[in-house]
Amino acid sequence: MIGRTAAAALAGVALAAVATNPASAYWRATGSGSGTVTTSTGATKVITVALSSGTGRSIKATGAAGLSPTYNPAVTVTLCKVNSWPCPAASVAATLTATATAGTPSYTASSGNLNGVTVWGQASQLETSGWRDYSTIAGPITG
Amino acid sequence: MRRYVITAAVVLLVAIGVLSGRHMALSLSASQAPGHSFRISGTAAGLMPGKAVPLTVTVTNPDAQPIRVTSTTVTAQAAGRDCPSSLLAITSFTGTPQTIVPARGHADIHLSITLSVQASDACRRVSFPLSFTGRAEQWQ
Amino acid sequence: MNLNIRKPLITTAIAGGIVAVSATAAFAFWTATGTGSGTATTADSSTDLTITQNAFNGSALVPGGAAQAVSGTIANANTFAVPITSFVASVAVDSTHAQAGCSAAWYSVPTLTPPASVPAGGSANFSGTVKLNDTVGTNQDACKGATVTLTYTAS
Repeated sequence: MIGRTAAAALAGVALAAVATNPASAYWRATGSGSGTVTTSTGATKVITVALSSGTGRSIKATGAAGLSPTYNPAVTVTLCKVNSWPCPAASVAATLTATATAGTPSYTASSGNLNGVTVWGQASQLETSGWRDYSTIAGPITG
Repeated sequence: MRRYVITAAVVLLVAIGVLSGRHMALSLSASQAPGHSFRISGTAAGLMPGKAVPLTVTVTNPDAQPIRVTSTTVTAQAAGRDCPSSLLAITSFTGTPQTIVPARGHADIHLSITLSVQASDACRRVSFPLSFTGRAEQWQ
Repeated sequence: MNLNIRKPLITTAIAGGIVAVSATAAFAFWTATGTGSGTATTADSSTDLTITQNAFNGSALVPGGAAQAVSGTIANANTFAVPITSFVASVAVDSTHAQAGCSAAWYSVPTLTPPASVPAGGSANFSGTVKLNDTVGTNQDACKGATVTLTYTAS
């Protein structure tokens, strides 16, 4: 039997209003119990990203991505000046978009002139199930 | 003839003696003869609102003669300001089942005590003092 | 002649008288009074409430998906009704998925409605919702297929 993790967070709602009875007005009893809720397994993540230098100090991102109906073929690639994820807004060098196709690579996206900045990159796409899949981080690369 | 006169006299004397004894016995009947008292004790535990809990009452007879208990009454005092004695409902004993306490012995009477559902949380782990009174009669 | 008749009569009279007086003397008896004291002590605690969640029959959670319904009952074995003044739920993720990086903090219980009280020797229903929040930019793949345990506490 899978054990229960120690990383439990209190995510509950405590009643704000106590009944009109003062604390000593009734004989108390307490109790607890538990139940389970399942999380969707979604689909297997397939998205990947590789970064290469393009013309005019641009960065090109290519990779594999899933297609309909299991995946939304719209791919987003975030180029980040720091290797910290999610990328802080002030550190985003560029956000690229592409549409995946049944080819190799599935998608290609290029940035503009990044003036020689060093970046790391991560691609993501939505599954139809609702999950957003994220690729492993690529980089660093200097444009 | 003389024999019967003597017999009659003897009979008369016996009658007078017995009648005198009868008079003395009648004057003692239903009296609180000194030295004929008995002890009562009992405890109950685990009272919770709405729960009938057994109250075992022990009657101890120090007398050299057995007694039959005819009644036992229990009254309670409050257990603090928030816990009046009116929260307790206690049954009483009125002679049934027949309860004989042997000479220099003891016997148990089984009563029941219930704490009202109105009892508040302030009455957890408190003690209500109980007072017992009872009556018994000599048993042959 | 007369003597023979009288003797049994006198004997009978004497015997009858003695029996009558003896019988009367037997009804003379004493009564006694008893006194004493004791205590009646109340319990320190009560029987715990039992909480049971119904089997989950909503849609499996996805990040940012609609909150799904949970429901269950609170049972009270005491001889008195118990008002519910506090009802909370905590969330835990199974160890396999937690070690893979699935955080219980991504799950929340947006609503939780207990009964006002549970009757003596009876039960009452509770309901609530649970959801998996979408932490944009953070990979939540580690939660795929995770089993989330909600632990409810009532008092």
